[in-house]
Amino acid sequence: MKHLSVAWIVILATTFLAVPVAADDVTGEVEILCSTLRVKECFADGGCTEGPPETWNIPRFTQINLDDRTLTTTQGSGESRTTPIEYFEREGQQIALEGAEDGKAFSILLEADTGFASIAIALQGSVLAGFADCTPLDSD
Amino acid sequence: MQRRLFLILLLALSLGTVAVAQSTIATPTGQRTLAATMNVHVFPADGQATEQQSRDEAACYTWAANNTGVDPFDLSRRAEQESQQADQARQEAQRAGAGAGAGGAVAGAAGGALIGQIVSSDPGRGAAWGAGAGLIGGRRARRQAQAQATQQVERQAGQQQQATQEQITGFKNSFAVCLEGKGYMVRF
Repeated sequence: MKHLSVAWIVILATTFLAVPVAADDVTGEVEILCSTLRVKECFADGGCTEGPPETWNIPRFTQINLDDRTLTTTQGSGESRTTPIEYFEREGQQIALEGAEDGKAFSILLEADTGFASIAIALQGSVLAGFADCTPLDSD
Repeated sequence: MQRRLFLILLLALSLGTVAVAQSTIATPTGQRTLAATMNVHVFPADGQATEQQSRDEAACYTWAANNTGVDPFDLSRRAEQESQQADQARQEAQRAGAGAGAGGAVAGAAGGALIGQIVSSDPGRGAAWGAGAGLIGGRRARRQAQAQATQQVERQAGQQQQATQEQITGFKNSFAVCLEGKGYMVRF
């Protein structure tokens, strides 16, 4: 019984520790940096797989520029990848970004006051789901 | 003696009658007449001889051809050519849109840029579905193209067939009028 209680405590503690640290407020920001830690891919046949973003060639850090309407990789990543944002809508604290590139479609919903982003990317025959924590890029 | 002479005379008369009968009533020779080849039934109502009927049919054929500007034998050759062309067109229609499936499948595997370079963790699994979907779309497009092309071919073939049939009917009417004028009963 005592062992069971200890196990429960360990499980609960692990669960709470796994919750991502709250992101920053990005309200009114133009350049935002987002970090993605885990991604899940679900296939048309019903199966899903989960892993770090590198598994899908997704950069860990992505810059969002709301003026230029672009998603770009950071300088430090050594990559120079850019994708235009084709649709941008701000409704209250919700910022919706959408676009399509090379047969892939993405949809990002960023909560400005928390800096928490929900990301969905549709590939052919599968869908990627991920979450990112965002922070203003030029904040000191 | 008189009796013998009467018998000889009777025999001669009967033989002569048979000979006359054979010359006036058309004997079946096993060969079809010109009219019969066109499914036109001609009866010699005035007892015309077979040779006479053949001559009359030939004359009426020429007259009807000149009158209508249609020669059924030419028409039949042309109809056969048109039928072969229609068959070829049908085969081409069946092949129509054959590349659509492959094109759709190829279009399913491109990449590029930030989002564009994202790849599936199991490309085979996703691509198989993508290629399958591309092929399904391709098959649908191909079926539509085939149906449209086949419909067009059938419509054209039907129009040609109808036009040919009308020309043949016109010729037969003219041919029949001519033969009826020469004392034949004609049906087709």
